[in-house]
Amino acid sequence: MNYKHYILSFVFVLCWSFVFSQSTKTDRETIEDIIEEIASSTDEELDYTTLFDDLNYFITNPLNLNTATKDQLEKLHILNDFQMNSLKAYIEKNGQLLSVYELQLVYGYSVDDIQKLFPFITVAVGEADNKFSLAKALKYGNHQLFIRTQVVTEEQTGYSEISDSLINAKPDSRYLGSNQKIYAKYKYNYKNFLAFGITAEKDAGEAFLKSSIHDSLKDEPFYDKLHNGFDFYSAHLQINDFGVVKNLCLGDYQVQFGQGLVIWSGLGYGKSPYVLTVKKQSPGIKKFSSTDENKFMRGVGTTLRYKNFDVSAFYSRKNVDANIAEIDSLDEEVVAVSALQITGLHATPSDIENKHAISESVMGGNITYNHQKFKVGMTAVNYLFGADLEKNVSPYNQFEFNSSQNSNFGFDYQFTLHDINFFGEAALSQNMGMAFINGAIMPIAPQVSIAIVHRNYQRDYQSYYGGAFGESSKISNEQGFYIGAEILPYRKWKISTYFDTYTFPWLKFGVDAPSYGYDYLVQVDYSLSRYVNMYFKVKQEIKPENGSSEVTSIDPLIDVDNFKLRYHISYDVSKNLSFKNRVEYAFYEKGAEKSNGYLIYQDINYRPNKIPMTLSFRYAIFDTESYDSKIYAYENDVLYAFSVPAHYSKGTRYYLTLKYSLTGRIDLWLRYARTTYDDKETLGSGLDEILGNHKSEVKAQIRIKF
Amino acid sequence: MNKIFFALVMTLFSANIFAGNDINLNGARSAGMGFSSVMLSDVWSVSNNQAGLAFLENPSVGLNYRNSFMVNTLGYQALTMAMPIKNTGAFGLNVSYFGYSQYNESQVGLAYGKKLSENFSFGLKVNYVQTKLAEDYGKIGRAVAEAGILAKPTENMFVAAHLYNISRTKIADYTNETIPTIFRIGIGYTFSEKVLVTTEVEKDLKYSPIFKVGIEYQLVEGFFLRTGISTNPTMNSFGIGYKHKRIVADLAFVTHATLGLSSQISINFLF
Repeated sequence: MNYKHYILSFVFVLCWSFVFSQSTKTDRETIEDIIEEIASSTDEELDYTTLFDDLNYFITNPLNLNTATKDQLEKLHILNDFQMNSLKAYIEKNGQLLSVYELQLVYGYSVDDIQKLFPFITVAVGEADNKFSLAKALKYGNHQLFIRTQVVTEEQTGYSEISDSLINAKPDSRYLGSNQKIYAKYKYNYKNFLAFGITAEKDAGEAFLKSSIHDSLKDEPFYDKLHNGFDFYSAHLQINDFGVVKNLCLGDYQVQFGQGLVIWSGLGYGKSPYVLTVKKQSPGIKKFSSTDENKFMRGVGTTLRYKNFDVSAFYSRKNVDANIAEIDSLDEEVVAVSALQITGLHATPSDIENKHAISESVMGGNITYNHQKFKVGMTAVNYLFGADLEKNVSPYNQFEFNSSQNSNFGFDYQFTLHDINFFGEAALSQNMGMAFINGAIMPIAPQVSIAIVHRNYQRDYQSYYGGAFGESSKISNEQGFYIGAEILPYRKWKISTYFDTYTFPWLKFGVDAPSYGYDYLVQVDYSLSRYVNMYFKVKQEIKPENGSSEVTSIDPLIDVDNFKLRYHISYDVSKNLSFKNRVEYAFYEKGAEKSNGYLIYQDINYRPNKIPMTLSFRYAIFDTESYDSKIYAYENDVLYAFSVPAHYSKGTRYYLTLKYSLTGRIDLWLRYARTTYDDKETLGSGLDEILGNHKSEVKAQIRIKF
Repeated sequence: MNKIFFALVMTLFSANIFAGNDINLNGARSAGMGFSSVMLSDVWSVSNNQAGLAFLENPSVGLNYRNSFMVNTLGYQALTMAMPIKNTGAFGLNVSYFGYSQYNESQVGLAYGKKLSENFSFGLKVNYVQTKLAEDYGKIGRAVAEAGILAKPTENMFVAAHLYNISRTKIADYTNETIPTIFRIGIGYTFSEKVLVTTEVEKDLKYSPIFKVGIEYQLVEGFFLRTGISTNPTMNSFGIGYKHKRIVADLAFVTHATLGLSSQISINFLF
């Protein structure tokens, strides 16, 4: 290590301590910011539990950058591949970091990145502590218990009174259970070595006690399938770094390999304002602790590490929901289903009929060879359903998976050459359908980095468990080319942009001809100071859908234009008070149908000095001409709950979230949210219909740490 | 099949992609960068923006061949020469031919570019363009003028504008068929010696504007990677370039979602 290194570090420590010292953000707020950034870009209510868990873990056990492995750095979800390599190269050349502020000297790290990393990292000189002992685990492990309940306060049709004769005639006309949603979770972890947890959930409308359902339904056949207690239970145990065992998962887990062409359960990032995050990190097998009731694995999975090889194998068997199409008249076995259900809702008699209708067995494995400069892997998966899937075949879906068993095989790679990181995967399904994805991420100048991705998914590639980069959610019938660039033109400014063009060589649902489209995003971030950040975002997507023709019976395709413009600013007014504002405009056009939409909101976050609480308040006004020009916005919620509601029609929405720390071990959350519509007399439809123009929701949550 | 395809191309898409007597943007370098070219300064400035000629240091000759959508009859070839003369400005000449025996367009043009100050130049060009249709239709020729400016406000930045067919010349009065008038403005920025990013907006008076973005990256000394996008219609382009002493060779591929692949190759020789 040379002197220059010391002096520079020292200078940076001085400067940077000053910059960071007045930070008012709590660590949890930083996690929220990161999740909000990801969530606000996808416009989908996804489950961010795993991401939250990973980041939350690092808050209590900050990652030592000097000894962190690449796997661990990947779990931060903040760094791209280039930054990870750059850090490793820096440490190799200059010796271990002396302070986290020294990151500023590492090529490829912006001020913004370091601010984001801050709560999750530390720097300590020395060797990694990777010895596991059971005694320590039992003594120092930490336990957390969560209980949450939430309820819509207005009466919805599905819960209203009904006469015996009416419900007998139409059993599906009311929900079986109460309108409360209840969620309970226990988790234990000891550093990164051992994790154990149980999750239980009852959705609104699901019956908790068998006896509580409408008396006249108790003779119906579905009654025998009901059971007392929560509708969904999940449990997991994960052990890491125990000798040759890199990890071992028992119970519920998720599997993510390669670039996701073969298998990728759980959250996968697609296009977002993180324009360079296009490569998947292939974390392998890891615990599942969220509440997606269908897409997870249940059984056992493990990864063994021997020298440079990682060998993984897993087996899962569970029952999944499906619409029953045919039952064998003799032994009453289900022989065919028309669709697999993924909502996880079991609130009506027919939901109960479909619940766990067929078995699903999945087995697979992966072999990866890790080298400092490159990594190659092979993944194979085989799955078998207890009955034939018999979808209604129409021209558009004739190439999709439609039987009871399938296998996928994939080969993936990544390597670095001249600072350019190449990656990709090629995969094959049992019917010989193929899919390819190839890409590269390159820092081409200190201020410019670009990412390119090309994918070619054939129309007959069938992958039920995959989740790869692309425009459609299915990995088939798509060719596309993506290019993204991140440019840091001046200090405090950042431009992120991507442009993606794609063709769908075969028909799609609602698109009766081969088609093509494109979308792009330009986001300009400006950090006026540590306390004032703003960005301006433009996003547009143009792709065709079926139009309607009065002349012929064939619907011609017409372009659908979705355009969004957003200005967002967040600023600290004082040490205790911070504000956020957003103005968003949406424009939708499909032939002669046009509609505009606006959303404006004000956020207030307040943290008093003396009381251990935080208060988040939002008031939003929205006015959209139709549902097509709806606008999504991420909302602050209680821990482990995520809401990204769509704002449409004309009205206002506000919420108030309160967190109060009773003691160091007990935290309470309370949340009230209400949307009022100006131009509606009833809301929702079917069983969720509300006779009134407002919808309110109350949530309460407690966390006990011990 | 080929004929049907050709007819489809000509009737449906020709307007946007290469309308008759359209401006012929030359060189596989600009093609690899989404056709953004107004701010570049090389031998192809003779066609792309004559103001760029003023910044040339060596006399040079270039050959360019382009094929659109793998259709035989959609070939384009051009020969270009540029000659900088100290204190006088730079002269340029280009000859080009597009089409085949039944339909073709040929063009001859003389260009001139001059620096007005150390970092600002202008350029002019006069072309004679001739369109020929087989059989009884015959041929028709017209003169077309174009002009451009190019500025380097800072060491790393190029800003340029160009106008094609200043006089809005028509091919024939009785059909009111005009040669397009096209206005282009663009900015280029070199982030380092290795990286050039370009953007350009092209507006044909009759059509929606075309936006273009391009990146050129010097992977190793003398070897360039390029990519770019242009809109209306959306086309992705990719290119490579190799420079060895006095020879520059560039290759570009452009993809169109419906019509497929086009390719372009150009070779320049610097004296």
